[in-house]
Amino acid sequence: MRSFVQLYIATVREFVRDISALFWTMAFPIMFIIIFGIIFSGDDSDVSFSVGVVNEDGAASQQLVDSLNQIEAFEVHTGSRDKEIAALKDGDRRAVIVIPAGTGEQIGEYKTQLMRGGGTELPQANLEVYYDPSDTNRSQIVLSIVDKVVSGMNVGVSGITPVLTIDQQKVKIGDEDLSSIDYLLPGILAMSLMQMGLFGTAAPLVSLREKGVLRRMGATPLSRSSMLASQIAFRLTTAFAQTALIVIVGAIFFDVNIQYSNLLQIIGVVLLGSSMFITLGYFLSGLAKTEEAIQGIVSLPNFIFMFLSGIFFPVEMMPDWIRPLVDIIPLTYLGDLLRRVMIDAGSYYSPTRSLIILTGWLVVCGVLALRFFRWESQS
Amino acid sequence: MSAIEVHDLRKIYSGVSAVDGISFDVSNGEVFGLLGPNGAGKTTTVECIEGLRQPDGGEVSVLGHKHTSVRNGIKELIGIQLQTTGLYPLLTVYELLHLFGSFYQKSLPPDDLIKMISLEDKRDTRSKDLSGGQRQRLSLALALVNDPALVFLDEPTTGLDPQSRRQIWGIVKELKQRGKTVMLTTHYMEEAQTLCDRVAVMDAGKIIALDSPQGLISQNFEETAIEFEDRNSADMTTLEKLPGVKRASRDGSLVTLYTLDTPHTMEGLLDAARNGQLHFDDLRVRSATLEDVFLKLTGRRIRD
Repeated sequence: MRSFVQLYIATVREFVRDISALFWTMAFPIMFIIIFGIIFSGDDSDVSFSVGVVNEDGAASQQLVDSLNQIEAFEVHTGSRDKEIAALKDGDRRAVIVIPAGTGEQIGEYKTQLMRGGGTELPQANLEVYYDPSDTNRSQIVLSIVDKVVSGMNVGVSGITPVLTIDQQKVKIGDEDLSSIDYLLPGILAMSLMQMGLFGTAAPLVSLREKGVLRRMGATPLSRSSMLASQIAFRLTTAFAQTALIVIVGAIFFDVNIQYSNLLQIIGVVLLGSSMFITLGYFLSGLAKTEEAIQGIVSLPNFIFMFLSGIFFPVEMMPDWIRPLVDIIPLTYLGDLLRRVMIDAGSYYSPTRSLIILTGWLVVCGVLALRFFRWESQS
Repeated sequence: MSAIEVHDLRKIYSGVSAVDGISFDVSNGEVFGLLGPNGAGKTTTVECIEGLRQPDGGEVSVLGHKHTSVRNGIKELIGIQLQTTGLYPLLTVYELLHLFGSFYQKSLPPDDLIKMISLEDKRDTRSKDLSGGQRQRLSLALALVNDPALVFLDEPTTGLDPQSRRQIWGIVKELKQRGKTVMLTTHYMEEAQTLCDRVAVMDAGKIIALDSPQGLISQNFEETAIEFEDRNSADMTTLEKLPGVKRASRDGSLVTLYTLDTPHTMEGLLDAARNGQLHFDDLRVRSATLEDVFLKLTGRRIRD
């Protein structure tokens, strides 16, 4: 036990004094969070759309202008038709809503006829909405909000009780409550757990083996199993230190919504994911003969996994031909699972499938590690 | 009881006998040397004895234990210095000694060991920042962490400058004074001659001679060696016919004449030089060394 503790302390010392391992496992993910956090924080706090409202109908339609003004997502500017449309063309407005003269009058006429039992032809009022079709996403949001206001008014004016209403239940779906940094943070954690297995496990192991450190300790009564146990225990604690660090930075600086009630699930997924990547590291360390070679060997999965795993872009966005690759990458599933348990977002894959595939990788890497891991340099 | 008993030890690497059926005993309190050129099988031999390699044949007993049965039990009792120092590069001298101490049931305080190897001023220096000689001393201290009765040193001074080499020799002599048994390998004749009570000369996996350094020399040589650099490649048979010469050998331009009658041989040599038969430089007379023994036994010199 004393040797286990001392070896653990020695490994911690070697780790914190090794700039490269420390950078990839700790500084690199934090850099990612800060960069992404800064890029996306601007968009998130300011989700209002600048909308021009041109009231050509005067006081009769003031009520309509007021209800548009009350929409939180709109930053309403009023002005003349020419001025507002010019602003739209300059990109200063997302849309311009024009209330033509006589709109209020038409609505009044409509009400009167409706109360009389209605005629064959009810009068209609038209709002004109100008928008930029090239900016589809935002225009669609603006148009649907306007549409909603208009149907609300229609219901009010006609006095009909709607047959179908929306009972608003608070269920978070996708991006409504979640900002981009919420989406990215679990992915960054998954990435850093992977890099701990690659840069924090495989590379130092090759170095210790080639320098003869493992062999030298093998010449003492210390058993190989204690050596392994101590190394693995150290790396698992590092994985949790990374998790804590990333969560703290995300929560304090970027207000990420972590589901702390899922703590046990989060611990379980981090444990599974880090074990899998540590085992991968043990396997890969056996493939390299030199410290230079291992850097190349771990860089390959590092970049492939990082960019094809959907930790930065949703899997749906990837082209079809690349999907079979995406679907076998363990980081895909670790990111997906972490997103599910950490921020309560919907996951793309079923959790069962993710757990099975990650466990499968763990077992395969374990078998390969047993086959390829070496205690002694071959040269 | 002997500290080490080796009987008919064999180790084969891909069809080649690295160690080819060697036998010897090492007594308690003895400094025992394995002397031979690189590739002679010295390291393989000690690693088989230490239990780091599995022999392909023969018997090894260390401190009364047949080590194949109690591998880890033996490691508790012995100290090992490997040829590669194998130190965690980013740990300090003190941290390494403390760490290795934790691997044994009993261990010496790190500061005592640091004092023994005179590294007090490097106590908190990381091992990668030590000089070669300092690192080698640290590696020696790591072999002594459990205060073992038997210490193995594999080429403890290879690649070191003369001053560092003498520092290591001083530590080994101190170990001997404290009654430790030391088994070391070396390809330095001078080292074997200075440190060892007995030397086994090894070549191509076999022990070709085993005795005290003085015994090896007097067994093989009653002669004195006369050495010089011969610039004209004189005929060896002429040299052998000089008065008193028993044997002559040449290694490049270096000629060694072994003689029982130094004054006569020198006379003949100087005559030959006067007559223009011979041109020599750097003439010196010395008594025979282990180097001469190795040369006589194998026909080759040991080189660094």
